[in-house]
Amino acid sequence: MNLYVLLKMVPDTVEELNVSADGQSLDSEFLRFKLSEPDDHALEQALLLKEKHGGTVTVVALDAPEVDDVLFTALAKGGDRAVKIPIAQAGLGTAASAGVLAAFFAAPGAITPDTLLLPGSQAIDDLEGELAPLLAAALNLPYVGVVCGVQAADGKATILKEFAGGLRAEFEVALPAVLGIQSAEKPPRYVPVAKVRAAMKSATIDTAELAPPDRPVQLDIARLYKPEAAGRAEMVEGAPADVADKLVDVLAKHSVV
Amino acid sequence: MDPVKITWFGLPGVPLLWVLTLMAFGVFGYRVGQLVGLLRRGRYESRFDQPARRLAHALKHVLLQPRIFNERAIGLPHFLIFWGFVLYAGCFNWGLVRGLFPFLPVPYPDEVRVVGWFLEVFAVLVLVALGAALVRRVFFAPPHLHLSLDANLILALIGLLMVSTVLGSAFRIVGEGGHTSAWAPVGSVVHGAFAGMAADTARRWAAGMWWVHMMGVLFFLVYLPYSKHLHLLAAPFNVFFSQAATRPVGDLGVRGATEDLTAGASRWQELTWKQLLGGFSCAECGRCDRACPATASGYPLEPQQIIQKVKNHMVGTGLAPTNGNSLPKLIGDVITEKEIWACTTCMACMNICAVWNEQVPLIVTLRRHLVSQGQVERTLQDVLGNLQRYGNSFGKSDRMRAKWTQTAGLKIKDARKEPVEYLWFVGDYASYDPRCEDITQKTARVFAQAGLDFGLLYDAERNAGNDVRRIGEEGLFEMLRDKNLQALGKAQFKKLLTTDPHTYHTLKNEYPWNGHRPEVLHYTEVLDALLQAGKLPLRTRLAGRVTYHDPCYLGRYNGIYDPPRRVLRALGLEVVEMPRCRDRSYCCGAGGGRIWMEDTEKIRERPAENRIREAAALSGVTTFVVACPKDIAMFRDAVKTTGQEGRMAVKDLAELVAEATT
Amino acid sequence: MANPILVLAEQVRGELADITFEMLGAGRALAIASGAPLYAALLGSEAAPLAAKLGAADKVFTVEHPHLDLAPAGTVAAALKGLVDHTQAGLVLLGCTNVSLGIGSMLAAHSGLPLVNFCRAITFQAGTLTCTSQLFGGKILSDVKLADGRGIVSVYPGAFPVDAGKHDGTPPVEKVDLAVEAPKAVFKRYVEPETGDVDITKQDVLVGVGRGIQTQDNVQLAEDLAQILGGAVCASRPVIDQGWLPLSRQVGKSGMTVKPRVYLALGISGAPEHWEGMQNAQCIIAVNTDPKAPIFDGAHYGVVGDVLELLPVLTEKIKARKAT
Repeated sequence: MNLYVLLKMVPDTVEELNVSADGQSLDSEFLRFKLSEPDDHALEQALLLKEKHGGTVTVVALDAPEVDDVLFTALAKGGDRAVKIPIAQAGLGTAASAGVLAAFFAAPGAITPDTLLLPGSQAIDDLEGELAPLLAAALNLPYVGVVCGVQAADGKATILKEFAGGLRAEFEVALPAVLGIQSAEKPPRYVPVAKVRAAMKSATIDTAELAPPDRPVQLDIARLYKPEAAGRAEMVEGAPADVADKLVDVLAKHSVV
Repeated sequence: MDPVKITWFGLPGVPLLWVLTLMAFGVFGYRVGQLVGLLRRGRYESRFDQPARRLAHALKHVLLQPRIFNERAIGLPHFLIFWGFVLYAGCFNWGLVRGLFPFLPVPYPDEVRVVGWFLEVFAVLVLVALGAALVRRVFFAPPHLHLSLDANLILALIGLLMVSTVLGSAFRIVGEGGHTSAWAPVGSVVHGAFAGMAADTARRWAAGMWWVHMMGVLFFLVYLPYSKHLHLLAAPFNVFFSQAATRPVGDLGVRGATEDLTAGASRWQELTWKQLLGGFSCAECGRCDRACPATASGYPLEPQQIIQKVKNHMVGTGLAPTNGNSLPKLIGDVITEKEIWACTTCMACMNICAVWNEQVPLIVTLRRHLVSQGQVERTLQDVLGNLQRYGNSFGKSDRMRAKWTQTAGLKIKDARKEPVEYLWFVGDYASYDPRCEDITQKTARVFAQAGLDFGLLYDAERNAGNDVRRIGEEGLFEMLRDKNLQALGKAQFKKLLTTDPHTYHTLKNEYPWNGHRPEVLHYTEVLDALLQAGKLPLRTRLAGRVTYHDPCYLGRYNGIYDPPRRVLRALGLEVVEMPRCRDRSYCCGAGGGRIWMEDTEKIRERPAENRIREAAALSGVTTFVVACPKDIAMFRDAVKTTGQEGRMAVKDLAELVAEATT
Repeated sequence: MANPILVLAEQVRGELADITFEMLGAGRALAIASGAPLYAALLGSEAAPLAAKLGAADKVFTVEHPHLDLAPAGTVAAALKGLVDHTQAGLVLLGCTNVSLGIGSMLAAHSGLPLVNFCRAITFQAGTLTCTSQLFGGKILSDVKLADGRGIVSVYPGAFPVDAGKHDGTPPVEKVDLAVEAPKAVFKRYVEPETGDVDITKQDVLVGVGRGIQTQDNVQLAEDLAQILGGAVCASRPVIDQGWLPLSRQVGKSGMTVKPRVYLALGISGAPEHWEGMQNAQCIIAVNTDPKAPIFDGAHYGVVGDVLELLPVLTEKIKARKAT
C-alpha cells in the first residue's frame, strides 16, 4: 500500500499558553510545539497497515519548530520516507495548509490506486476546519473522519468510525481515499531514543518545493484571549469524616440521598 | 601395602588406575571444554582490569567466604565442607600421581603423619557439617532452597569420601598390627571395631578403601560439570571477574564491548560471557530469592530462576543440534516479560549472593531488548515520552520545576548565574510531586537557616536518569545525562547535593566526570555535617521512638547508613531498628522504574505494605522515617492500605530536622 | 444579515441529537437579533417523522433520499450545499461532534463560505456576527468575525441550552428534491459498545474517576459509592485507556456527554476534554489532591484530599444517613 501520513505540529498545552500583545497570535516566548496527538495515531495506523499489507509509509509535514525531530522519529518507528515542505506552518489556516498539501499530492504518480492519505482527524487549533475533509475535497477523493480502525483488502478499505459513547460503525470505501484518524487500533508505539538518533544519522528528510498559499488565513480573527476562570468551587475542608458529613449534606440537598 | 600393587578382578592396579583416570579426566575435560565454548559464544566484555584488586577480592571471598556466613545455619558447615574439599582435592591429586607413577620416591599423602591427621580430623568435621546440612534440608529447609536429587547425591558422595578415609585408616592400623597413633586420631578409635580381622584381610580392605575413595573422587570429577556443583569450579572465577571487585555496586556499564549493547539481549548469545558464567556459578542456594521483595510479594520473579533459566536455556539450545525455528525464545518462552519488569533493582539479591552473581544488570540487559522493540507498557511509555520531552516523569513543563520555591516565597540562588558552594540537584519527585512540595520547602529553609551557600539549576535540571537507565532505555538515559552535564558544566559550584538517593547514585557513579567528579552528597549527609558542626541550632528537642528505613540506593548501593541515624539521635529521638535494616533493608517497591508500572497481576502484598507491617511490630514506634521522596509516596500509601493510619506516620528526615529547628 | 439561518439537524439511529436543539436555540436568538428566518435541514429517508420535532424552526427543509442515510460527510455536504443554494441561507450551523465532523469543512470547500470550528458562543451586534471558539483544548478563546453574518459555524455540544431549541409547534416542511450522488463510503453496520451494561447518560448520579484512583482495584471503592447512591461509575480517558472500565463509561470528548443531577469528580484534574462531557451536571463535587487542579475552577464543591481516603468514609456516612 502507498500510505501517506500528514503530520502537523500544534502548540504544547503542557506549557502555559499566552496571547501576544497584538491579541492576534500566541506569545512565542514559552511556546513549544509537539505533534498533534491524532496525527501520532495516524502514523501508528499507517505502520500497522504496512506491517499487515506491505508497502511504504511516507510522512509529510509543513515546516515548523521541532518538526525535524518528529519526522526522524517517524522514520525510526518504521516510516520509509519523510518529506518536509519548506513553507512555515505557523500562520497558515487549515484551508491554506490543505491547499499546499493538495498541490503536493497533485504531482503525477503521487496518488496510486492503493493510496491512503492519513491525516489526524482533528487538531486542537483547527479553527478553519479539518485537514482531512479539505484535502479530500481538493483532491476529489472519498473521505471518512473520526476513524479508529482500518482494514484493507482488494483495493478497498473497511473503516471503523467513532460516533459517541462507544458506538462505532463500519464503512467501506474504495481506494484511494483520505481517512481522518482519531485513534489507531493500538496505542502509538514507543521508539527508543537510540533508534531516533540512529535515524538522524542515517536517514534524510526530502524537501518538496511548492508555491506558498495566496491567502494564509480565511477567517477574520478579531482577537485571542485567555478564558476567565469560572467561579471557584466552594471548598469543603476538614478531616475525612467531617468532609464526608458535609458532602452527605450536599448530596441530600440535591435529593440523591 | 601400596594400593596400586594389587589386582582387581584379574586387572593389575596401575593400568586400571590409568584407564579410569584417563576416562574420568577425558569426560571432565570434554565437558569443561563444551561449557567454555558456550561462554565464548557470548559477547565480549573486559573484566580484566585491576587484576590485583580482583585477586584480593577473590581470595577474600573464595577462601574466607564471609557471605556464606550471612545465613548462620549453613555458614560454618559450608566453610568446613569447602576447606575439607580443598584438603581432599589436594591429597587426591597427590595420591593419584603417586598411584599412576608408583616409582616416584614419595609417600602417599596419608602416609605423611601430619597430613593424615588433618585428613582424619576434617573427615569428622565434614561429616558433622554434612549432618547439619542434611538436618537443614530435611527439617528446616528455607524457602527457595532446591532440594534436588543432584544436591543429595553430592552430599552422599562427600560422605562416602570421608567415611572411606576414616575406614581406610582404621583398616591400615588393623593390618599393621593394631598400633594406634595420635597422628591417626579417628582411625585409632574406629579400628577397634575391626580388631578381630586378619591382618591380610585388613590390608586388602585398606587398599579397597583407597580405591573406593579414588573412584569416588573420579566419579565426582565426571559428575561435577554436569551438576550444580559446577559452582565449585566456576564460582572462584565468577568472584574474580565480578564487577563489585573494581566498580560501583550494580554498575550497568560494560567495558571493552565490541558491539553496541544498548539494544540489550534477546538471545543468550547476546549476553556477555560474564553474564553467562553466572549460571555456572550459581549454587541454587536460594539466598537471592529469599531476599527479593518481588518474590516475597508474589510477583512472577525469582532472581535465581533468571540466572538458572539463562543457563539451562544456553546449555539446552547451545549444545543441541541446532534447529533455529523450533528453539524456545529466551524472552517470551524461557523468561516472561512480567518477570523482567517485576524487578525493583533494589540490589538485595546481589548483596546476598555468595558467588557474587549479577542478577540486576542481567535483568536490565533483557529490559533493554524489550525497550528496543517498543514492548513497553502504556503507563511506562507515557512516562518515557514525558522524560524525553519535558525532562521529568510528571509530564509537567520544565519551567515549573522550581515552582515550589515560588509558592513558598523562597529566594534561592540560581547556580547558573552566580557561584555557590552546594548545587542542590533536587530531582523530579521532590520538585514536582505535590506530596513532597512541603518537605522540599522545609529542607530548603533548614539549609538556609544553617547558612548553607546553595543554589539550584532551576529549569535546566533534568531527571538524572537512574530509573530510565534501569528500565533499559539507555539512549534516553544518555540524553538526560548529557543535558544535565551540559547544564552543570555552565554552573559554578563545589559540591553536588541531592534529595533523591536514586539521583545521588547516578550522579555519583554513572556520570562520566572525566576525572573532575565533584563531591556528591545526599542531604542526610549534609544535615549530619551541619548538626555536627553546630551550624543548626536545635530549638525543640524531639522525643520518642522512631524507626529508619534505609533507601536501597543510599544504603546497599552506596553504604550510607550512619549519617541519617546520627541526625535522628542528635534531634533527641531513639532509633529502633527494624529486623531488616542497613544492608538487609527491604525495598519499598519503587525502584528500577517500578513506581511507574501498574500491578496488573494479583500479588500477595506490596513490598511497602510488608515493610510498614514490619515497622508496626516494633513496640512504641509511631514514626517511620524515610530519606527518599519516592518513599514518601510509597509508604504513605502503604500506611493507608495496611490500616495503620493514625498509628504510623511516615516522615521525611528533613521534616523532623525542620521540626526541631523551629 | 437577512439571509436565512440553516441548522443541520443531527441524527443518531433515528433520533435527533441534543445538539440539534442547542443549535436551534442559538439560531433562534440570532434570528431575533438579525431578523433572519431560522430553517432546519433534515436529511435522509426517515426525515419526515422527525421534522415534527423541529418546531423551533420557522421551516424545515427535508431531502429524503436513502443515499443520505448514514452518509459520509462528502455526501451530506453536497446535499447541504443544495439546500443552502435553495434557501439562500447565509449562516449554517452544524454540530462540532463526531457524527458531523468533516461536513462543515466539505461544505466550506464546495460553497466558499468560511467555517468556524469549536464554537461556544455566537453574538450578533450592530450587523456583525461574532463567534467565540475554544482553541487548544479550551486554553485560549478566539473571537472570529463573519462578514455579513455569512459562514458555517460548527457548534460545541453543551454550549447552548437544549430547552431553548424545543418548541411544540409543528413547523412547515418543504421536501426538496435534489440529485444525490451515491456515497463514496458505504455504511456497513453498527459496532455496538463492547459492554454497554449501563447507560451513563441516563443516570441521576455519576461517580467519575480519573488518574487519582491509581489502580484498577480501587475502582471498586467508586463502585461501592455509586451503588449506595443508585448511580453509576464513569471515568476520564486515562482510566478507560488503562482498560479499567469499558469504553461505554467514558465521559468527555471521545466519550459521552452527561448531565446528571450530581457528578462526583474523583481524582479528575479537569482537563477540557473531560470537562466538555460533564460541565452541565447540576452539581459537581470535585475531590483532588492538587489544590490547583482546574476542576476546582468549575466545580460547585471542592475537596482537597486523597480520594482513596475519602471514598470509604463517604460511602459509610451515606449508608448511615440512609439508615436513619
